[in-house]
Amino acid sequence: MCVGVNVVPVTYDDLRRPPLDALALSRALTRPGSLWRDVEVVPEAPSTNALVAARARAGEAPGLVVLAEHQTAGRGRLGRVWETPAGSALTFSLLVAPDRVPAARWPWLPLLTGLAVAEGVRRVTEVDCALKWPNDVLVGDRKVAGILVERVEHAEGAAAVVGVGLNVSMSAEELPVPTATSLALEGAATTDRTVVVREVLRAFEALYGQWQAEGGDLTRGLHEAYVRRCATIGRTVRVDLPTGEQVHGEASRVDADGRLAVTTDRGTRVLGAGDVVHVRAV
Amino acid sequence: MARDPKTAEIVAEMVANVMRVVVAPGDRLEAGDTVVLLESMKMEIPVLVEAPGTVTAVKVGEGDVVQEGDVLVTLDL
Repeated sequence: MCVGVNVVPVTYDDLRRPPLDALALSRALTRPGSLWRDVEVVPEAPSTNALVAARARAGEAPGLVVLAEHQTAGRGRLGRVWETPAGSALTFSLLVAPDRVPAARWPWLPLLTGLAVAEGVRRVTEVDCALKWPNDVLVGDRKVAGILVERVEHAEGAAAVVGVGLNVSMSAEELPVPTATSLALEGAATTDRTVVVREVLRAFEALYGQWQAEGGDLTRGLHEAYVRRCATIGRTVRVDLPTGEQVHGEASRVDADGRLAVTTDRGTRVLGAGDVVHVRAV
Repeated sequence: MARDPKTAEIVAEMVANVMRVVVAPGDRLEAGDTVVLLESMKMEIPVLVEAPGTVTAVKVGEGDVVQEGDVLVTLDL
């Protein structure tokens, strides 16, 4: 951590970073018949995903949302850990149980979540964000939000913990990596986290409801909506596979299973995991 | 004559990458133990055993791509 001369403790008096309004979120989101049953704000948590996963294993019903004002050890893919300054980001996890979607189609859930974040953010902040396959939310080529979904098995069946980290009011100096950005840095119309997360959760509810109603079948609209927001398609990419292998080519499409097809000089590869780098045209 | 113990095959429920193999042949498992961690589209999917048993074979390695229905691990129950 970098210590400057002006060490200003971040508190709830920080007008740029008002606290999350748990009551307003509950009122707006937990109406009868809605997906969300309980919206909780905790002051601090190492990882909201770990917290919600533990509650799921202990029998918590789906429909739970837990937001942390300050997440101290957020977990990304492959155990990567990050911390965000208090009040500067939206860090939250959702508990859902897609009981009408067969297990083989669950991998669409991370993509659906990316789409919900992008749509919700666009609506209230007017920031033009898009998706990098499968679900990083980008503004231009900079990452503003990341998502990690974990399947959790418990006595009554399976559930999914959906974790989202969205950079809201971080300054350039506060960004975890130079390739990241925040809504504030992108000129967002609002950086009120309560307003932003309310819209993201509404967008999630609508997309998830459609996905469940279709039994996970995306032929009726969701696939098209994802493709429209996916900035990877048509780009020259490098994909770092979990094996360490690199695939270079043009991202040609996202198939019905959500996998990315990359056209290389030795044919087409269809990928279900890997880190995509959008390569700039030279 | 001793009867052959019952066996079980743990299969993948979806197309996925094998992130981590948690068990090795000979390991004794309880119901609910994780055998393999799969990843698909940034979703982590722990594969658990439903009944206690002993691992007889691990059919996949880290980095493998598995298809729906592929056997991951076999067990003697």
